[in-house]
Amino acid sequence: MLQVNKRGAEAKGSDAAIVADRLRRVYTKRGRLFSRPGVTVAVDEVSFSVPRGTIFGLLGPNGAGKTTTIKMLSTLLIPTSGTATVGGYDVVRDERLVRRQLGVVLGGERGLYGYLTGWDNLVYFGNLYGMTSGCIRRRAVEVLELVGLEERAHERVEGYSRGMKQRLHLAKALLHDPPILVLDEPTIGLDPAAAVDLRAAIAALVPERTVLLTTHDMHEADQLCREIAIIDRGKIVAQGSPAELKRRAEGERRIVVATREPLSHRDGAVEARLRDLSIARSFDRATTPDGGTELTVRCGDAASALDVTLAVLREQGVSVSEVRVIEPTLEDVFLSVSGRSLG
Amino acid sequence: MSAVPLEFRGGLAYHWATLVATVRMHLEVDTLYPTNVLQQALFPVLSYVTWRVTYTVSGRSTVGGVGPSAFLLVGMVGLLTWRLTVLGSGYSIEDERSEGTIGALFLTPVSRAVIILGHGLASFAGMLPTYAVIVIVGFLIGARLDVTDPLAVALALLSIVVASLSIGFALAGLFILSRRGNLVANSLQSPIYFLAGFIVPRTELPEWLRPLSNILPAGPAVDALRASTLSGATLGGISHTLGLAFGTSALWALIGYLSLRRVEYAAKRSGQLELY
Repeated sequence: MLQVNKRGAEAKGSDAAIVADRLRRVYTKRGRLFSRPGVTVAVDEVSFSVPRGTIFGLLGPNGAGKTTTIKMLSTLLIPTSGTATVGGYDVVRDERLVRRQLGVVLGGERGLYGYLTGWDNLVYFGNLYGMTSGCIRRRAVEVLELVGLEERAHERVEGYSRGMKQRLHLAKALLHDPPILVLDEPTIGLDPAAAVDLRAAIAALVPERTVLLTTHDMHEADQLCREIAIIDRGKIVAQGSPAELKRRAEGERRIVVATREPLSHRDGAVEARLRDLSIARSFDRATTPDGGTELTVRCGDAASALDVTLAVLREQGVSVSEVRVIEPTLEDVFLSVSGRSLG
Repeated sequence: MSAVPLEFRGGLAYHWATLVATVRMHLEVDTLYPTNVLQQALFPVLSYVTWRVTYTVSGRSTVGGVGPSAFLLVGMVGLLTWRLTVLGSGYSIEDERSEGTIGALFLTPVSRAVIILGHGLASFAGMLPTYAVIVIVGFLIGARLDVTDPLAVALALLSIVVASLSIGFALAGLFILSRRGNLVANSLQSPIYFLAGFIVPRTELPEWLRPLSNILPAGPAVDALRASTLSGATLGGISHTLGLAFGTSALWALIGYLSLRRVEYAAKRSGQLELY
């Protein structure tokens, strides 16, 4: 029997659990009878490192290169160029050692044996990871309990809902107790309550484990990740903690002021006055359900902008019914660095 | 983290446990529906009866020095072993692809060869009752055996299983790269039944087909089984044929092993591993 209590990376004493260095992946499409050959750069010189015991997010829209990146890190794809290590092991040269370090959730409807029960899936995968029989049984009970599937464990997976399959994916990834987890869009397709539960389970994985998470859900990334890399069209366009990234989009802060009566009779006067004072980057105006006007001012310094806006409105004799300050979101960050929305 | 440190198997114990788990899983899935079991038993029986009738219609009373029923009985045992073992092992990777589990499987550190072997052995194990059915049908239609050395029979049977697994192993690599490798394999089945001597004696094949027949390990394996079960041959008498069967099997297994490594790398390089 092998006692796995010293994992390679710990032995190597590195602070980073995952390191990607200028990873690049190009897909070449061969020309066929009715189609031309083509080249797609799915991932272009992507570099990042994930500190041990943290959740790191790869945030980007569909097709940005997130899944391709994690497939390279989890040994399912060979990089066209660049290098990566997981737990201190090279993903191409030491692929078997990398696989022992990793629990991967590729998620979705595939990746589980539908004819088998959830329990039998775990037992089979436990054997594939080389776990002893007693160990598999004990651990399967633990992970099924963790993901809340213990009561449905002996039903065939083909009868599971999407959320149950997703939870079983997570249980399978945790089964061999890997120090590093890679989760590809773990909450996609789940109903809101199931997504909340799964996020709570993911948050509880650190600091004992390291998690690399891909998502296009800004709220999820913001809530879970200590650090985020925003990826767009195969390139990392911004990287940092959620707070740091949002600071980069400070110009995207918005104050929203709703007035009791419409501003149309003073058309342009308020905006012109605010523009003269140079507090705003842009204005939006909308009509509220009760006939007033909702004025949205994009600005950097919300406190000053709010003071000035309220002063100008008072000066114009307009009464205010509601005031809100909206902090920049990761969507704003993505918009500011890529020029388009996350979609 | 797990409350208690986990224990992992290493070396042979790991491969053995994986093999047993794969066999168990395969058998569990194969026996889910009674129609699967029935179909597996019916195919060789129907083939047997059809070919026996064909020989009757052709007017031949002896084939390869024995009666057609006895000749075909051994041929059908070979055919059944070949068909299910080759398909079980060869299609195993393709099945993982269509099931959508190939990514999950390849994320584990398991040896692909052990998985393929497990599926092949499970297919063989799953059809053991069918052997009994064929033998009973054979006796009912006049087949008689002449066995003097049971060890020779056992080794000849083993050589058919090994021959089938080795070809299945070689095909499995092809299926990683090709999304429709099964079409190639299916179209090769009937010619192989003839080339391996399941249905007609290899000695009656045209000269130009002999080299092709000789590179298939199932050919000498079936010859050895016929000699040991129908002509009372001893182990010494079939040792040369058995050597040929095991030797060509080893060659195919080596080709399979190397191609498996090569094509897995190629599939990961081209990004085709999970496509279906």
